[in-house]
Amino acid sequence: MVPEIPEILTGRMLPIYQELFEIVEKLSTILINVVNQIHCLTDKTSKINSERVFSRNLLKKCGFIQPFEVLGNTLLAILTLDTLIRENVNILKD
Amino acid sequence: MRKLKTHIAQPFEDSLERSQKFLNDHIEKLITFEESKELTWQNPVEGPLITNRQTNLQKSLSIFDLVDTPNKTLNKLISVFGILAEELKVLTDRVLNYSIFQALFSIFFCYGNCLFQIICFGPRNTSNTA
Repeated sequence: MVPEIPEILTGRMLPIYQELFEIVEKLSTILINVVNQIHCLTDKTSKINSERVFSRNLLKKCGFIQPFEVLGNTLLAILTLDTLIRENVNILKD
Repeated sequence: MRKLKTHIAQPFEDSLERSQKFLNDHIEKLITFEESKELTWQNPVEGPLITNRQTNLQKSLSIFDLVDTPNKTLNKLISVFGILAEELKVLTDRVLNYSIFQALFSIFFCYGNCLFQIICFGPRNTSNTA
């Protein structure tokens, strides 16, 4: 197998870079959305709590297990991608 | 000896009375707690989630069909969190949990190595590039 020229390699990688950018952008926006929604639910000064749409006991019983689990998984994905790109010498060379 | 007997008997009786009082209070607390719990379950805001089961399996179910509680705002909240969690799961699966030839982390892990061509373009197409 002949090693490719770095210019050609980067050219072949362009669609993958584009996909990575779109995925990371989507992930970050949805992450911010989830964090904002959890904040609005738990914050005492928010509109939902001031109008008392939910009782406090209901929110105490809710564990928010699924959103926090998903948040952890997405942060893990972003961290792995970040470390792989940062520590790969070949990408930094090209 | 009489003094001693009274001295020993009094704390025993006192402790017995205390324990009886404690038991009675505890029973009253339990009864009040059970009554309050029944009241809260009857309250539509804090009521239990009603599960919705659909017999027609050929029709694809959305989250809005599955979430059906008397509280409308709770419905919205559950559906929003469900949709966001599903979206995040799909994206993280693309990054981490796909097969080795499709996951993004494997491409960046093998970038610059001889395995990169196999992962990116498949084992068959590598003979053309060589």
